[in-house]
Amino acid sequence: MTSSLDLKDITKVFPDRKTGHEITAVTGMSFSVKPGELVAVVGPSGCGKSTILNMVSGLYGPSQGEVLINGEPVRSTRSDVGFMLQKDLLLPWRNIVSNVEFGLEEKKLTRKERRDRALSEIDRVRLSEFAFHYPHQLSGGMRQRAALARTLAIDPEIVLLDEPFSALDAQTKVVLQKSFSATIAETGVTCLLITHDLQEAVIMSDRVVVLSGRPGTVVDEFPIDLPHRDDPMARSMEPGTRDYVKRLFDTLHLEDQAA
Amino acid sequence: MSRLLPTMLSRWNPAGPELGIMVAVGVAVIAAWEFLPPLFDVPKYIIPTFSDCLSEFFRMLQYEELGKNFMSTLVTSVVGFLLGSAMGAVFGYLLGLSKLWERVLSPYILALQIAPKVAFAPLFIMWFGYNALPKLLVTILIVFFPILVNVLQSMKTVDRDLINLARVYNMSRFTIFRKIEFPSSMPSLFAGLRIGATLAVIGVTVGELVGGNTGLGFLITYGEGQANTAMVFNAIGLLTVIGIVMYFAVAGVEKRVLHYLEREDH
Ligand SMILES: Nc1ncnc2c1ncn2[C@@H]1O[C@H](COP(=O)(O)OP(=O)(O)O)[C@@H](O)[C@H]1O
Ligand SMILES: [Mg+2]
Repeated sequence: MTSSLDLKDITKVFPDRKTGHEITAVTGMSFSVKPGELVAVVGPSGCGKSTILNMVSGLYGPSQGEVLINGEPVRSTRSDVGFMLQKDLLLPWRNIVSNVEFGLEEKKLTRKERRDRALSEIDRVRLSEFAFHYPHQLSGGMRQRAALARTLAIDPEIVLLDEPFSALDAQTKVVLQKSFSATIAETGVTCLLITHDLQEAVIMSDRVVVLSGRPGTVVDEFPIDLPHRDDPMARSMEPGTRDYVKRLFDTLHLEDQAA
Repeated sequence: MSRLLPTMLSRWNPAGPELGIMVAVGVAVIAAWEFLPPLFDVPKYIIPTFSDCLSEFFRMLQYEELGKNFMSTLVTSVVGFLLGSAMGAVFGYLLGLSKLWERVLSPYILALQIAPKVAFAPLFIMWFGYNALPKLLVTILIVFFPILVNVLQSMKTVDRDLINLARVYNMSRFTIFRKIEFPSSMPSLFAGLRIGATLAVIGVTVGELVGGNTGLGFLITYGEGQANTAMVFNAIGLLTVIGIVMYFAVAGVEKRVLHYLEREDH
């Protein structure tokens, strides 16, 4: 089961408690994600990337415009959206398997069904050996894989990933990009990957949406016409990859900016 | 100071030569205590020696119902600690769940937290008479606040992203409390309980000092009246024992409950 996602002319304004001014995080933003597609969203920090994720997951609504999942407006949190952040959000007092079961506990499943589902997701991210370990006994990369297992265990229609690799060291990041890509391709789930890593956007996605600085709005959008979406390492060797990264680089005017 | 003691006690894990030196220091102190006062002609009613205290201890066991008084203080400390912490925790969680009540009540909580709780002892005696109730109330009161404050603080600092995750999983307000907020608060709750365990003994002691005819606190005033300094020394020593036992009982439970936390010491 996979769904489409449409953002239609979205504006989000936050009241600022301290100054009393309003902050417009995103304005007039529109883009869509087709069923089974992986779209990467890149943009400078503070341009409203996480805000998009919160609106899609239904934590709060946009000030103007609409978020549609399968053509239906999102009005509240819904159980078919999975999200994952830079932080693994594993509960330290639960072992890995019961962390993966966490999202399943609100579904009508027997204890055994829940355990079986969790164990098969853990197997998919190759953590079976650690199913009964506690989060603190795992490395950062393993914890993030456990978080992916938890996210996929609820069998989501859409997965939202908010900079899932940015807290990891360079090597772990490469390994995890590969394992995430393979897993996501295997499930065929619709996916929105938020990142500030341009290379990552190119090697992991079907399409890239580029946002301007705050208030964020779409300034460029293009498909990545390269093979190996399920294998970022292979894709990074493709000669076309550099051109796409260069295009992102130029669009974001990185050369003009002083550090 | 009250925070230094718990950390010192919890690190008390000696081995090898360290243990030897530790025992040697203890023996040296006892020896100094035994032999120096007579050497300098310090009278027994100022500093009774170690052996004086020891023989007084056995006399108290026989003639002063030391066992009964000890148990009275122990039971009151434990009961007061349990009631005070249960109430502190419940109020902490309730206030943590209600932003409005927390804001409305926080100035009063702050005022009561600063008020010296032991000073309420004479008041409780005026209200409830010379029985076990006043000292129990002082104990409950003194234990209540650190636990309430710790729990409330931990409820305010629960990771928002964890709560959002639970909301995306469609969990109800109560389920979020049960599965996220309550377990998140455990380390702070136990920090409060450890403080409470040592404060409980202070509460009982003051209650017994001010008005009572049982307990180690009573034996202190009784010994004072008779200029029996050894009795006072012994009662102080036994009160310390109660405090240490309660502290380690809490620390032991904490170690089991919070087994999932990374510990520095291994
Ligand atoms: N709940 C909020 N209240 C007020 N301002 C917010 C809130 N959430 C985000 N913002 C503001 O909106 C802007 C975009 O935030 P965010 O979406 O987190 O950016 P990004 O993820 O792209 O770095 C920031 O300037 C941030 O300060
Ligand atoms: Mg962000």
